[in-house]
Amino acid sequence: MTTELKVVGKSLPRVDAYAKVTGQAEFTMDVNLPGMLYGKILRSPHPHARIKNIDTSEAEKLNGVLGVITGKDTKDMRYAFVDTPRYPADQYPLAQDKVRYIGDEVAAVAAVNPETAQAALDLIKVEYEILPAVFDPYEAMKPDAPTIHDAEIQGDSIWEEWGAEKTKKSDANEKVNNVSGRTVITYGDPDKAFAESHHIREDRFETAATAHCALEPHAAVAHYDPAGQMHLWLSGMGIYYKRYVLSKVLEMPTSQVRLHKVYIGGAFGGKMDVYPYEICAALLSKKTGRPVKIELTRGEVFTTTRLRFPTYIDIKTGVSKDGKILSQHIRTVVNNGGYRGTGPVVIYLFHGWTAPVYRVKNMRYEGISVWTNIPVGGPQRGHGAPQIRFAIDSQLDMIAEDIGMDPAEMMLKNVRKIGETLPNGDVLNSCGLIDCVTQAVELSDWKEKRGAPGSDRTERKNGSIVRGVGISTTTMISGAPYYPFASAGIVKLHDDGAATLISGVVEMGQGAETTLSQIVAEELGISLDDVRIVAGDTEQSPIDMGSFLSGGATVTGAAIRLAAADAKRQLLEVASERLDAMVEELDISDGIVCVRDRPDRCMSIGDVVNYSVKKTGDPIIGHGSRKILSGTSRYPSLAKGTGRWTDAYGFNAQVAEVEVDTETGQVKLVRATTFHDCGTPLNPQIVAGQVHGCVSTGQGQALMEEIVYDDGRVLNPTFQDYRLPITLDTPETAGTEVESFEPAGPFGAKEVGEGVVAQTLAAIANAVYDAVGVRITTLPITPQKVLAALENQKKPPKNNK
Amino acid sequence: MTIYPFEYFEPKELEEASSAFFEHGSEAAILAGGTDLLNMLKANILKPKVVINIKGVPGLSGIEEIDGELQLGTLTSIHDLETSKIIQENFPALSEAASFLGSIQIRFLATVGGNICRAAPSAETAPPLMAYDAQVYMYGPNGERSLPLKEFFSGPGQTVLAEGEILTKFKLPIPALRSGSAYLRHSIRQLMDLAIVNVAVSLTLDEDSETIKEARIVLGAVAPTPMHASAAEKELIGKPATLEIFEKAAQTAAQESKPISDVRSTQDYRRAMVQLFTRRALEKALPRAAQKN
Repeated sequence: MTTELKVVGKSLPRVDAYAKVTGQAEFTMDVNLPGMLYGKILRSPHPHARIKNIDTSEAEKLNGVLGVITGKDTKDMRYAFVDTPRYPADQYPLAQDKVRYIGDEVAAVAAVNPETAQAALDLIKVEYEILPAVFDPYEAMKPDAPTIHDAEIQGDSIWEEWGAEKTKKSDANEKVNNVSGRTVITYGDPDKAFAESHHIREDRFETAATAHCALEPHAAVAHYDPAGQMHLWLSGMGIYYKRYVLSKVLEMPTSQVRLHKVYIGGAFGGKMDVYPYEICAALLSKKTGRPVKIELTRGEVFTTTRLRFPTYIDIKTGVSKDGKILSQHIRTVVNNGGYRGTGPVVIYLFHGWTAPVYRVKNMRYEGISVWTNIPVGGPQRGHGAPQIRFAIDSQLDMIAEDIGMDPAEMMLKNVRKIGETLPNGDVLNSCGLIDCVTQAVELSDWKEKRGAPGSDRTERKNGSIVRGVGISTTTMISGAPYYPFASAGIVKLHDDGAATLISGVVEMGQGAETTLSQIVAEELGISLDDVRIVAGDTEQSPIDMGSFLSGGATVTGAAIRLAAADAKRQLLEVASERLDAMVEELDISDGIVCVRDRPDRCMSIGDVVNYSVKKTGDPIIGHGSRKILSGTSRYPSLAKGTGRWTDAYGFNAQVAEVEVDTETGQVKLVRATTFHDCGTPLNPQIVAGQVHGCVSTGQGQALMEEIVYDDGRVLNPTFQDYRLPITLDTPETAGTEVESFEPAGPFGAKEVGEGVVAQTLAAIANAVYDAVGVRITTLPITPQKVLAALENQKKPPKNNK
Repeated sequence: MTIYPFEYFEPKELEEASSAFFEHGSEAAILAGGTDLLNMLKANILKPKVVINIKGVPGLSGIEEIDGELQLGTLTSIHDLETSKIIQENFPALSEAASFLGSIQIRFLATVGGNICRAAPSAETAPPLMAYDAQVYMYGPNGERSLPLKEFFSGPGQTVLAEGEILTKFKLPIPALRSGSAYLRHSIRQLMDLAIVNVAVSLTLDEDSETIKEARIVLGAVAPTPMHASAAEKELIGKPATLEIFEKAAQTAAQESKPISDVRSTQDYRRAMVQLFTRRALEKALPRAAQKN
């Protein structure tokens, strides 16, 4: 990279800023169509019950009610994010025979206003036979526990359509009650390496269910037009994925389902999946012939749109005398609730976030996902990374203390380097982990604040307040194979020299419309002001991977750079004729095409386009595409962890500094020093915003966020009782990106914005231990837990004297 | 988020408001700041047939010193409590408590009468008002009556207001010389959070500036209603104001409290925090008392 970048790498204002600050940006709930009806969903009040009868007659008679649907109207409709030969889809838009968690969808109503729809729900009589329920995954696996999915699911899965083998490979493991997925990955010789280890530790960690808390509640507007097209406005993260699943469920050709563009008010993983309310809006529109809007309440968002999986993690680690990790045995159990959600994926991902960070040659990993009767788990910013990185790096901190080593030093002995190949075949063509750790250590004054291993902490006390520091690292993919497995872009030029980018990307606050436009401007040699974007509409935009596997910069970005390059190639071919020079002799800068070093032989891009139209009629339209994992045709195995699954990994390291009040047990995150390797930052200000957001999410999940259940009922489905950090709680932040260049990404860019969440948890937990010598292994680290642990610490050891 | 339909009144006189309220009884709700009422309507916790907006009734708001007493109109905004000079100087615990209530936007709308009539165990303004011996005035079908605020709450979300009665104002005696007070609260978030424990204390010292002459310790969020820690208060009176005495009173206050375990905290933790924050509040109030002579 020798050419100087003019647009990429600059903190330019967001292209959607004007629409957003003026209130013109349209979100799903702003969509109002003539004659529109309002839908509401009737949900199960029981965690586990059989439906004996549903009587909708009174609801249907209510004045203003135009449509009522139940499981009878959705028979044979089965779908799920995980739908493979091994794990066939286990969800239904409306309950068939059973309900499996409190909030499970039973019926839906469309009426002239929300009040009438609500009143109609109250008139639907459902006769339930209440079944015994189970909420704990270990209880659920016992042979005598109630079986939540009792019938073997038959039929084809969508992955077969995407090229997975049709034959259902039998699971070699014995069948265990309520187990919904299992991953077993082994490499090296773990037992032998444990036998050769200098020191071995075994620890258990537990994490809580947490919520995404996007400010925009989920909403859908559906309008079935009589010509046969289903128009949809949805709170989503990927229009092509949702279109595909909805077309399957609704039994319509894909191109007859149209997702229209809306802005998304935050998603964080919670708007990726297709939800019953979306299918119900479509079905109710088809049934009534009128547009239907369904807006979930905040309570519904908290309980029925996926939560981070509560996870139990047992880790056994063996290290050499000098702190090298020789062997690791990791066992995880996730509670995926009434349906799989992404349970079988997250147990695969736990290993996925383990292998790229530390070089562990001998590994046995076993993950199990379990059906219970709590709300369903799904992806949430980091998808499994916060849980597993919390466990691994908490334990690394404990091991470092055991062997008298500084944990940052121990990390540096184990982190991977550029050029390494992972056990699944992925290659680290960029990897700034060493720089991330060393720069975070340096900027945070780690050595001075932490002191030598085993040094006295009492002198740090100021009244009841003690400070401490902790460190952790993490990684994140830059896209992974999932429908549609590729992104494409179109760049068309205008006769005034401006360009329009057409992309399937969804703008949900992450800044994709801006960074992708910057790529186009840079490639074409024009200013960002001269790029407009049309995005997020399946009828207008080419395919896109969606914004849910952190592949936006690397995969979509690369496709769009190719589209811009294609337009540029055509442009230069025309210009070369007009300027009487070879294409190789031409440069574009500030919208002007010139023969190199000949400022007298120039013409504007607009003039080139005009000339092209006049001569041949070609207005110059470029297109480009990028497949995830070009050159591979196989998909990774969720069950065995084999197979490549991403082109590039982002990396981070963070030092957290906390204050612990030894009288209240309250922990305050004072400073978070984060260094991250996102390759080339396409827009440093947007990158910084992503990092700040991640730190705040990580801080919340480390210290206060927790969905509290009582027999499967969520007790805190409000912002009052589910506490997120507010701006006053957020820490001082420091750090920036390390120098790195990812060859797979446009201008060297890769993932940022998802991974950084994950290392904040262990960094805080380790800092709490550094401050007061209390090790909390169960998230969140509440004042009660810290105070109780401090009280225990005061008790004299049992064998004393 | 579906608000059930209701009839809406905007009375122009107190009597008109009271008779409308009396007429509709338990089917009516009073709207002042609306910051609690609107949430309860949206969540269908309340489904009133009639909403009576008293914001247009004259004479119900304002902060005034009259004859050695502070008079607070029921419609006085929380933001006014927080920023009023008279309150900051003479009733600092009330101003401090006001600063913790909701967000800045909420504090502009929410009223002191509303915060008290909502009768939440954790109500921000209740402990300081009780610590300042506030007298509460009500107007109803039988005219005006008044009670000490500590007798006003009858349970979580419940008060002694009779049908048709509207809280109109509070009166607080201006604290004597050598009085100091403080408000502290413990919550998970710094703001926008309900208290796990909140404590208001006021101390008045003897002429020797050492002996405690009067003491009030009022605890919130640890009993069905905000409560005086009466035994702890008694323990302080006549004693020298020392850290040992404070610690002992704090222990007594913790024993007197009746916390529960809920989604926000546990019984044991709340009790421990009563002790801690009572001690901290007394330690904060003492130098303020010593200054006021």
